[in-house]
Amino acid sequence: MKVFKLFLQIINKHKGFAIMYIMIMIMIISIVGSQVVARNDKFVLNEAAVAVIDHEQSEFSAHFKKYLLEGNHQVEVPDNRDVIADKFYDESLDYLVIIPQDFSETFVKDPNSLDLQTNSMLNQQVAVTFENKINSYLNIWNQYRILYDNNIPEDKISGIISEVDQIMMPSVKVASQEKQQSESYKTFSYIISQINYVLIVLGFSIIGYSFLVMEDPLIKKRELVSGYAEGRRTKELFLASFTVMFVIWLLLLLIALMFTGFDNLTIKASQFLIISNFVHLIAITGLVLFICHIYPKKDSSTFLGNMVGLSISFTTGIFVTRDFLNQVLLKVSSITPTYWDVSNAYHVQSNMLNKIDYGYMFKNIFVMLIMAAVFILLTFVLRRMKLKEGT
Amino acid sequence: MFKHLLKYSSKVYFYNKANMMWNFIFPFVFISVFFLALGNFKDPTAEFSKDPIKLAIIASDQQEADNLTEFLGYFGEEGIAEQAKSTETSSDDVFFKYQLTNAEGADQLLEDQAVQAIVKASNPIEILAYNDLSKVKSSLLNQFLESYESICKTTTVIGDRYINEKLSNPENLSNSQLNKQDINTIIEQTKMDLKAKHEDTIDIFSDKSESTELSTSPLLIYFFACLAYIAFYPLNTGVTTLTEITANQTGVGLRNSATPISKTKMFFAVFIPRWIIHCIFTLAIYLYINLLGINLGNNYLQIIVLLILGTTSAILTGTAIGALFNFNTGLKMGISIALPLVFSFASGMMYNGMPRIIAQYIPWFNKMNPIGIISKGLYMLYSDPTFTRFNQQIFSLLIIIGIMFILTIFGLRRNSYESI
Repeated sequence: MKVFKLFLQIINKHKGFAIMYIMIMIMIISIVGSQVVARNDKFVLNEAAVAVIDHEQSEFSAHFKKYLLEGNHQVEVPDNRDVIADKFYDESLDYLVIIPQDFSETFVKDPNSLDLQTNSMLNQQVAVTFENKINSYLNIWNQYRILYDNNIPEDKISGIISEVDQIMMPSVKVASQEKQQSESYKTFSYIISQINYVLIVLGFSIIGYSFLVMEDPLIKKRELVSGYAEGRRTKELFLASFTVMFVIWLLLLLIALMFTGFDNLTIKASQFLIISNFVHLIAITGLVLFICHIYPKKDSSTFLGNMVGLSISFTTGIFVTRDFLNQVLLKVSSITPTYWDVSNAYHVQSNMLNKIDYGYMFKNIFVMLIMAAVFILLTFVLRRMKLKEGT
Repeated sequence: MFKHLLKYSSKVYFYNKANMMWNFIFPFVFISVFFLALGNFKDPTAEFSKDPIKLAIIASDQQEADNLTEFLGYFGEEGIAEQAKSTETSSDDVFFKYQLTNAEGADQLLEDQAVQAIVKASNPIEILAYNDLSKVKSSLLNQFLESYESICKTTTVIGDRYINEKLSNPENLSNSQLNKQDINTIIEQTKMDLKAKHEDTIDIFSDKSESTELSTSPLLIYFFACLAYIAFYPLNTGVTTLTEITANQTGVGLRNSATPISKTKMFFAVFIPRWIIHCIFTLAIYLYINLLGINLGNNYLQIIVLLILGTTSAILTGTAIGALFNFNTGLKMGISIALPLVFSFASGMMYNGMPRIIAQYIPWFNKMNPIGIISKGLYMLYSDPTFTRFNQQIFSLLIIIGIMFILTIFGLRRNSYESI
């Protein structure tokens, strides 16, 4: 196991580099993971930073303010244009509503002429979400306005507020959610697909680099001259590469489970995802080794990891949901094993637990297995060709 | 001599194939992939219309089912037939395709993947099952159904309130000659009236639809971060600049150090051509983004200044890393690639909610993140009519450039070798 040990020694020699990259990637996974878990798998607007300046201070406006802040993070700002703009540009404020002094009065006269000052600088989506929210709220109150002939009696407002709360409460039942105790497997499927990006980058940066150091003619010749057979050397090199990748993967999987709960290990869908991700790991390691044989420049391995990692992640739907991805590019990305693993993660996310098609997931795993076999075989062929050429 | 060094280092830089590949071809490839991948962000509604959510509606109560289909009719079309499936829908606002059916039929449709969800028109409404429904689509479906529920609940609650108040009023009661059947008729009529009134919906933002020009689409936010990443990408060039003049880093560095030229002079001779090349290249990427049809705003001069300062800060950060730390070149290169990646992640290139999370938990990081500063600068130029805040970003970049330059010169002068 001389070559195996030497490979690990090389990684140990560059442990500063390896630890730095692993820590960065763990940080990325942890931040994304914590955010996804915080959203509790509800695909709604993330908790937004909202400021509501209430100039009227009535029961109605107070309830409106409470409604807008519900599920969001409240930001206190004075009614000062510059301070507000600074908050927006500091990204500590997503949406602002200024309730005017004559809010109730204008609402009763003509709701459409309400002069609510709103602002959302960062993202149009936030603005649209809040505009819909505000319109829905005012539309409900408008029915009461009509009911009381444009003059809601003061003493009725408390009762109306409790009714509005009741109306605004979500009531659409999702039967599947009631049957399933937890939907943590969906969060797990999201985080496990993010692991793929990390594996690609670390694969090239750590494994690819160490592999290319081992393939340095001086080191290689020294080992061959010392009587180490090329076949045995290749086997140990591959074994070492897969072992290191496996350890990194285990570490990342542990983090994913820490965020989503270890009970995921008992859910069949999660088990399939773990198998799928493991097969993806083998395929990616094969791909890394194959590319390292085609382009054996150890100084470029980090660049390569960066480029391949970002490109694959953006085209397969790791960073951006596939709903918005260019479909042609998505199809093109199916030449990478990552596409098939991410497809499995999407399949789990898009289906109820009892509707998950394990045959489909198995088919995707099988495709990855074939890809892994092809990459490894091609790598062996390349090595043999190079050996014959004497390089 | 200085001129000769300038010419020589430019040639060396251009003849290095790896430099060409990673510093010049990669950014173009990356921007292209980025653009192609996110192309559909421009108009997500149109994308939904190409592939609307297909629903099977089961009626537990015919009236409920009619109400629901009528509501869905405003946002979609009835029928999920194959020919409708294969052709793109004519309207841009078709979010749903639906079919009223019975429980067995719905199950079969779901099994055959002809529909993505089974919705039971009841009170409250129920999503009985779904299949192949992405998170975005399930969220959209949920929002529409919640809107419908809210309308139904409002009608019921206000109807009940109306009746209660009429009946609880002693005057009304004493004068009332109505029997139970009449009261029920009035209740139903009132509900119908209220429902009709619902069509006069309030939209206080209808006039503002044109005034949201200050807000930006997610596509642009991604592109701000992406262009900022590309501008800051040549960090590695700064690192390699130093390795070529530092004796204990590379053979070239050793050779250069042996020449009778001051280290500072040598530094500028290697730095200036690379800085010029990368600034031009960053501007070429900016031009390329414009050619792709991404409009980052009309303040061209300010954008150019911002990008040049961004690239300068990147190269000088690289030279500072190269000058201050004595670890091996491989690790320095690793850092030079990892740093832009971390900065871009924090600026929202991979996850667009990231800048706010950073602002909430580690606000100081946002202030010293050069990619964040460039990205924010681009955003301010796009949305802020005044240049006050943009100037603050420029000032922040100038501070970073100043600090990195001082650190580089300090690091260069500090070096002494025990053995080379």
